[in-house]
Amino acid sequence: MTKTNITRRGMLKGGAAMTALGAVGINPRFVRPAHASALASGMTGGPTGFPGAERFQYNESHSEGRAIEAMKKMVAEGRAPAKITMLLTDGAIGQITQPFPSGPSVKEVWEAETGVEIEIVGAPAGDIWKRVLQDVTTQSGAFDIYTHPWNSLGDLVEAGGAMNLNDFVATHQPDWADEERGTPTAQTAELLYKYGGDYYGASLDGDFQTLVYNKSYFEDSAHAKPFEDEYGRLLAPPSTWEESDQISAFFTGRTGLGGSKIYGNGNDMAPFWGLPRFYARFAAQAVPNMYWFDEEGRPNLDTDQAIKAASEYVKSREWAHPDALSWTYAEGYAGIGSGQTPHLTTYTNVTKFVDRMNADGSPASAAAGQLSAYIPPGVNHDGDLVRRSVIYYNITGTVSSNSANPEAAYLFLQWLSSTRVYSWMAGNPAGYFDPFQKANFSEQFVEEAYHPYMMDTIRETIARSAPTINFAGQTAFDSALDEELQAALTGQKSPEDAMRAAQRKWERVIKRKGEEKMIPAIQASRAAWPTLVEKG
Amino acid sequence: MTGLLLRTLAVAFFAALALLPISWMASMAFKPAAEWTSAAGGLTFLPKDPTLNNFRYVFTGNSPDQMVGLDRTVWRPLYASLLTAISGTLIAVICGTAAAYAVSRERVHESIGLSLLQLRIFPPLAVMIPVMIMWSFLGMIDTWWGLALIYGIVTLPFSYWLMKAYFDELPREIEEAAIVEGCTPFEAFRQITLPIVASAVASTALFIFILNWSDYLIALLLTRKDWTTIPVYMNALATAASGQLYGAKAALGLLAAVPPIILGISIQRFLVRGLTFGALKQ
Repeated sequence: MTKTNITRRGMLKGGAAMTALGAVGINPRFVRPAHASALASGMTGGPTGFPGAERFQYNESHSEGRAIEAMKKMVAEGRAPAKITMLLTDGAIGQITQPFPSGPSVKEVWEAETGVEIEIVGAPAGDIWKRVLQDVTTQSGAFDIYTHPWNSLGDLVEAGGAMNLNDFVATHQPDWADEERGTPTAQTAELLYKYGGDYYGASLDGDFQTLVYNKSYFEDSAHAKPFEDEYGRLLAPPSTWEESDQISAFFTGRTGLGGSKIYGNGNDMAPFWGLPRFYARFAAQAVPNMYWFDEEGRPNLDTDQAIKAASEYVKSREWAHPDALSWTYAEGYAGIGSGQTPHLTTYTNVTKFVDRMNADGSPASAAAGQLSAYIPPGVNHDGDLVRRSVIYYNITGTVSSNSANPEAAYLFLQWLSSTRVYSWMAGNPAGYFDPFQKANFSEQFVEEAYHPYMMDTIRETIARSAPTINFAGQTAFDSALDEELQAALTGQKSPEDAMRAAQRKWERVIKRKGEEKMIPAIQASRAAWPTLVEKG
Repeated sequence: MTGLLLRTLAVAFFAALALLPISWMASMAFKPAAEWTSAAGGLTFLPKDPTLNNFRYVFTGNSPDQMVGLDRTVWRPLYASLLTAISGTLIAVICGTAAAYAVSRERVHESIGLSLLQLRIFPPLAVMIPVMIMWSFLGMIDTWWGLALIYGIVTLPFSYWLMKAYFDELPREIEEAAIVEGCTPFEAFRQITLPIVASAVASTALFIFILNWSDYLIALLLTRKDWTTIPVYMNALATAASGQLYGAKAALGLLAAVPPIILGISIQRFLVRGLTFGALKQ
């Protein structure tokens, strides 16, 4: 006689699967033929109901279609959950839940095609990593999918919170690195989706820090002429940080839009948010790169180049608004939107939110219609121009190692991050998932939201972007550096003392984490750095 | 005369200083988005173009000066805050009053007071991490009863110690007289003692309600979505386009002050007596 053990979890899972199956089979909302008739020929899924929807539709030969078919198979076999729970930054929820441009939302399309509900739990961008750690610590399995900064990926893997996705990737074949539609380079795919050579994350963002400037200021003879007189060159987007600082110094105190006082440096310099500005200066200090660590894994913070970058960064505060030390990215956006700043380096969605018209036809900001963008500035090393930006924050989805339904969670993540659905989502102005895939840049909705001038600029910026830290210990490394830079910015320490102190802190982090583990991770991260050097 | 003037000026100065953040919040609540920070232009104390859009935004999720609608409005967090703060207060006041009465009258297990105090000795976060693990194991994360229970537990020491001070001051001869007249000890407590200390119970309840109502840390750690309270919801008020929604947060801050004020006014007649109860030794 066979004894059958019926557990509470087993019953709940069975019930959930039956509910999902019933929903697909019975609920008129999920009846396939009506939906199928609105799809383009040969397509089996995707959004419908607005002009251009066919660009985001798919079939079984596409990454999204494979995810949907696999999910439907799980539902049919009773292996699917009724619900997948996702922890997501508040500011991105709208791109999944709000219809764009009309018709169903991203969430509704998934739910209609699979019958599996998506529950989104929001958290502020600055708090989301704490919420992830809280869930990992309690092992509650409350979330199937975490989203968090890409920088935290190593810490999450080391903490055992992220599931290794190698098997799922091999089985379901996402198009993340597709040569025509995926990441701009194979190197970028390695950077965004893998940690330590294994798949762990799915990128849902393109946080490559990009230079945006007020074109009307640069073209205005009232500014251009005196600039040329003073510096002996045309007032143009900067090629180097030296030129960038000259522009900041020149504009500070001048009168801008609506009679506003201009502060030449519009960069946010608050703790956490200001860190990528320093990293970008630092990375360009050597040919082809000034790495955060040397080849032996020793921090480079006490080098002459790092101290020079820190000194320049601290000096740039002279041309920033007095409140800049408390500003986040949003105040940076407001600053260039109001005409208070002529240029800044920031997240690419600045143009989506600032350079636009309201529904009633009025401009959304004083600077609407006047912005443009340019590739990042750098440092000229005797004719070798090293322009560098950095990737920083970049929302990344991972499957929780405590998820009761990891494959289902992965399938939703694959579907969401594949190039068709992601292109549709990136064009939606209701959130800050930014374009980074090749397919995104040729997408009409993305171009309309971000503007044509951003398309090439973002691509070129990605090609020049260095990875900030994302291996285990990142939180400790970044916090230590941030603390010392803030001490320098507020005059408590000289830049040199701050960098030497940060160096000691980084060395302690490496020792604490274990050199045998840290040094290979540091050395591996160097492979993801760009090598592009121009003749200046 | 000069002394009075100086005293008045000093009081006015310190009152203005204390009220500055509140008045700034009140002013911010009526400012349009363009006046929230210095980044968008000049920052003024009073709104240049007063608006009710911030209140509309938190209640409806939409505002004419916001590009992105809110995913959630304030209604559900408001309900969650009221339910959990009131339930937690009831737990703390009932248990605390009963325990304080028993210890005060029977003089047994007096160490219970110190045991309860342990909850307040450690930094809140140190206590909350094991609580979080226990609540997760018990399936009480993001439930109203889970949050109400922990509110009741962490405010129990206040309830116990405040009520014990009141009971200690109350002559036990009054209850003994009632017992002589035929009351049971419980009837003596319910019919004689409790009405006498009603003002003390009211002031204790108000104090505990305010603690529960304004809690952020516990609600942040023990709720996720369904039962997030107003302070947690307030922290989450941010959009991609605008960053922190300072105006909406200020509007919500003003609204959040309303329930404690209403409660305070409704039990005002008990409060003055309650706050001075036991102030004088017999």
